[in-house]
Amino acid sequence: MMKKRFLSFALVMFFMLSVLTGCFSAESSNPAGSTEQQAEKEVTIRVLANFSDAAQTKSFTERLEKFQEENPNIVIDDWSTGDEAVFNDKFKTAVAQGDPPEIFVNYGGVSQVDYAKNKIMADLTDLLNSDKEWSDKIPASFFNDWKYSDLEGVYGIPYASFGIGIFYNKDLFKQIGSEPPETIEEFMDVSEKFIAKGITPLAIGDKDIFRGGHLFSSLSMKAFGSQKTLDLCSRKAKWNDADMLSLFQLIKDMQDKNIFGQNVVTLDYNAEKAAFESGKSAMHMDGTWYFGSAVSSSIADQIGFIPFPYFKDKPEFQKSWMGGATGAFCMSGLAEGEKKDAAEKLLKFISSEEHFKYMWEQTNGGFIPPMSLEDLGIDQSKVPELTKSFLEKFSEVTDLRNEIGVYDPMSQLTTKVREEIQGLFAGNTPQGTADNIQKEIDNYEANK
Amino acid sequence: MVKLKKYYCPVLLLLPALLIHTILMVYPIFKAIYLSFFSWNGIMTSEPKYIGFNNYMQMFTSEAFLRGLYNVVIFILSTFLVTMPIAFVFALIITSKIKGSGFFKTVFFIPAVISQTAVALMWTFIFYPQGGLLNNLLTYAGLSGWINDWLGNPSIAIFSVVLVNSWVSVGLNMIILAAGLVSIPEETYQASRIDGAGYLATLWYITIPMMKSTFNTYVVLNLIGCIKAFEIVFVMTRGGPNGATDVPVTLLYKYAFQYNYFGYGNSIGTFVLVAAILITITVNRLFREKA
Repeated sequence: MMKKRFLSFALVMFFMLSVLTGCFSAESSNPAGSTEQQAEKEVTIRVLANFSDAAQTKSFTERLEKFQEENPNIVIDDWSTGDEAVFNDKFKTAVAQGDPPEIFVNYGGVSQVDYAKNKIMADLTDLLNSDKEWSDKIPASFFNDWKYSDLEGVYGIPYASFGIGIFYNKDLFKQIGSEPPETIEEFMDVSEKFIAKGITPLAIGDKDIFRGGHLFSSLSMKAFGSQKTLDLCSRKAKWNDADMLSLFQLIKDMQDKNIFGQNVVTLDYNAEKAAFESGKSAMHMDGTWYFGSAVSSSIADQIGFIPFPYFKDKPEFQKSWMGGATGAFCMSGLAEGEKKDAAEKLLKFISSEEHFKYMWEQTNGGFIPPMSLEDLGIDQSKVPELTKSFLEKFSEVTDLRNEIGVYDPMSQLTTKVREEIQGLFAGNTPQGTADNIQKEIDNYEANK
Repeated sequence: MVKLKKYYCPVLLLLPALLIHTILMVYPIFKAIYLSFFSWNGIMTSEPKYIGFNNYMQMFTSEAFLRGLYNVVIFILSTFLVTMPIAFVFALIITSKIKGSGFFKTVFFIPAVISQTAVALMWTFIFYPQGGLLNNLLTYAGLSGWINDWLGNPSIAIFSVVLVNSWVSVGLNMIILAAGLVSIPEETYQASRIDGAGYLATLWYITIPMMKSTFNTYVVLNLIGCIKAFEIVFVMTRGGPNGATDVPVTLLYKYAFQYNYFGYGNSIGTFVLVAAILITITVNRLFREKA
């Protein structure tokens, strides 16, 4: 009996010790060895990127594999995803645990300042200054979304630029005998013709609420330019003033005319793209990241690009676009020692000219680098026609701003505006929509 | 001393499991309750700010949360008014001696084994206002006036989601009720038949009263399921349009992961936990009193 008990006790102790040693072995199993052993010691860094286009995701993965090949002692744990919600969940969970990935994508703006203040995003000034030949290749203005007025430093390295415009189906426009619209007024005219033919003019899949957000910000840029964005974010203007109300009303009017189709709230982004690529929708509003998909779609030769239409009575904002730096690669401010060195090495690798060139080529121009194509030595004859037409228009832009909420100190404003626009699509009034957003801002200001 | 010695071995054997359970389950629960009294942006390196019961006060006065509770009430009502009668009838069918009861058992249970995400997506397509199966069927049936945007219309979206939830949960609830039905001794039915009781009388005076403990399980599981509903809502509508189908757990997700109000999110999580515990205690007590 005693023997049996002893045996059970020994087994339990063995099991517990195995568990405990297992828990701690990662930290303690590699005592200081020889210099050679240290040099070969593997270091793992985690990467969390988010590219909505499959071609971009694939190319980025290939680049990480290339880096891995060149640096066998650096193991890359790739957390990247193509879904923005999954990306946010992964990132925020890691941040809440105090263990952010060493390299991650960030979309910048004032709302991100807390990450910079709390060392989730490292100040990259020293790294940028240490290799001017590399860092000077990216124009200084692209860094603006990762610089903060009340905090010294630069917190991200922008990896691409974008603009929001309209992709259109040339064949469908031929069928109605119209040219693609340059102004909102022309857009309304061609929309009527498409509706008469049973074709949705511009399908919007606002189940993914960023669709309505992009539509609204694009309209705002064309109606009031970037000054309105700045006034709203500095509280000089209100979301329920006459200007904003007129935009909400315009969206409502467009919806009432069936311009966005009947499934606005239930359709998602992928279904919206599918509607365009299957000829059910004549136009598709999207960012430059869509080039990759457009060029490889079954109607590739039928797709053209036009800037987002401007208001005829506001020609001064014709060249105001929603756009900017798509995002930046950031480094965790909590990374230290070998991890920090490895992360810096990878950061430079994925923001090098070679990287941008590779991404451009593999995505058929769906990845617009933050420097000119000439600087990258890209053969202009190989640039797809669709991308060429975008670049031509994009080079004329005089006023470029991201979505309004990006510049607002209230970090949840982007989501709030997007949700309220979804509410507008679902039946809320323009006044109710505007008032709800303003109420949220007033609450925020009162509790600050 | 001798008595204590006898417990050493079982305690040591249980200890690893207990440790893992404490670290992965108990600690996070207490941590969530603790954080619900703080304002915290979800950044580990930033200091949470103690704000007492502010999160709770804000929660109970928030229109969004009250709407979430209202939606939970609709979930609960559907559990009793839609799911339970159907599941009970299905349970009666599969436990009866009719031909093909095995076939029915499989067919009725299929929705419960399909992934909730797949079910939610399938129903989303069925509910599409333009080109969706439901509206097409209504058109063919000459009921065009009934066509609606089932998930896009804020006043009916929650009912669409709730019905899908019932469709999913009927299978599992049928099994729970069937387990109660087969546990009733055959002799009781034989005795009632000798006394001249018909089918309905047997059902009312024998079957239902003898399934009290089964109904207890059914009520507890479903009430808790309703208060922590998430997957179906999130996949079908993500709480939209504009919060019309939000329930407490989608709000928890939204406030914590989209708005970075992790303290507030934790207060909603704590509410769900406390509500689930209270529901379990109350329902168990009610059923015990009636027993």
